[in-house]
Amino acid sequence: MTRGGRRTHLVLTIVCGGLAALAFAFAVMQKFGGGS
Amino acid sequence: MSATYRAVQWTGHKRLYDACVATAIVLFIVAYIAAVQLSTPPLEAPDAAVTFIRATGFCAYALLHVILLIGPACRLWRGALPLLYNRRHLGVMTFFVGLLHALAVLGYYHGFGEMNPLVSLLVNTARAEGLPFEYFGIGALLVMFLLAATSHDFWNANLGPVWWKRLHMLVYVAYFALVAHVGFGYLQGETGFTATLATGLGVVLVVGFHLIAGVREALREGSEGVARDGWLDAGPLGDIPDGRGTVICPKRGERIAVFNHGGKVVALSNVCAHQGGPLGEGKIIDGCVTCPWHGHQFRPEDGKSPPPFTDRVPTYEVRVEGDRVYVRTTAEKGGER
Repeated sequence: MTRGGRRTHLVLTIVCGGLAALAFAFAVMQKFGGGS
Repeated sequence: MSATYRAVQWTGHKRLYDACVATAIVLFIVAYIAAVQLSTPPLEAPDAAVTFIRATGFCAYALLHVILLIGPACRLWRGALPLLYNRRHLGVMTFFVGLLHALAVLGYYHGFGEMNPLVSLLVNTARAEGLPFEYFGIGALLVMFLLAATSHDFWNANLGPVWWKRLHMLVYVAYFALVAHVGFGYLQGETGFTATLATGLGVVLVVGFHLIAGVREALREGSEGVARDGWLDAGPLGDIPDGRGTVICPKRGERIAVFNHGGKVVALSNVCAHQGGPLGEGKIIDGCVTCPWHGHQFRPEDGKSPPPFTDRVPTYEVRVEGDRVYVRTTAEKGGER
């Protein structure tokens, strides 16, 4: 992969991985009654 | 590798790979349905259609995890490289399993009313209470369709490897959408902890492996420091086994692959012209530097693919002083891409 490709890959990993982790956390809070 | 386009460049290896994956998918779905039916009392057993919907959904979700784990696994452990070879086939099959899941949902939950099933899905999802998890599933399926439809080398060649790779990084958007789809859908109806723990473990594995591999790669960037008089120290020749390469990371520009070709040292761009694979992690086969990702080959002396192929990677001047190898950081004239 090119240098720019590796950078984009890392940024996307952090953004989408973070969003996935947040979505999972909210889903757990909603399921177990801690969410709004 | 082929000089002409065909729908699928079938080889014995690819046929075997696809047959194994298709069999594993069918066995997984059958085993899931059997396990649910056998482990639940007859009166409490869910509808067979619901079990099928869950089985296909679970299968597609698990397959996406496998696909996403292959990349960082290869960067952390070379032994995983064979898994990368037909990853696109796995991606296309994942899309079809997801499509099967979506069609079963449309037929079972939206197929018996007067409204068009697709309209019913969109309208009733908007009216439902809670987060409309179906929209996340639709989004993920659309992205997976786009990726499956453009997975062929035709698109890779016409979009160029850089834009093709950028397009296919949308798989991470699909992953986020699928986690939300499962989290706000399936998990909300599950009473036990097993499914929640398994989903959480999946997220930790995918995100964790990508971060470890990504940060490790980022730390290597420019690790060889600034070149002196345009030459970069690539280390001792004795550290490069015959037929193998090493990768150096200049402060500027792309990484360079340095190969020992029967005692002669050659240097090429580390970025494969096909899909940007790391050439320096490959080996010399039949006198050509061979990419570890998909087997594309380049002649060490001029960086050109052997005829009838026309791909080319930049080459770099090399000099050996004593036991140390030095590489000029600007591509050779005529050897640029």
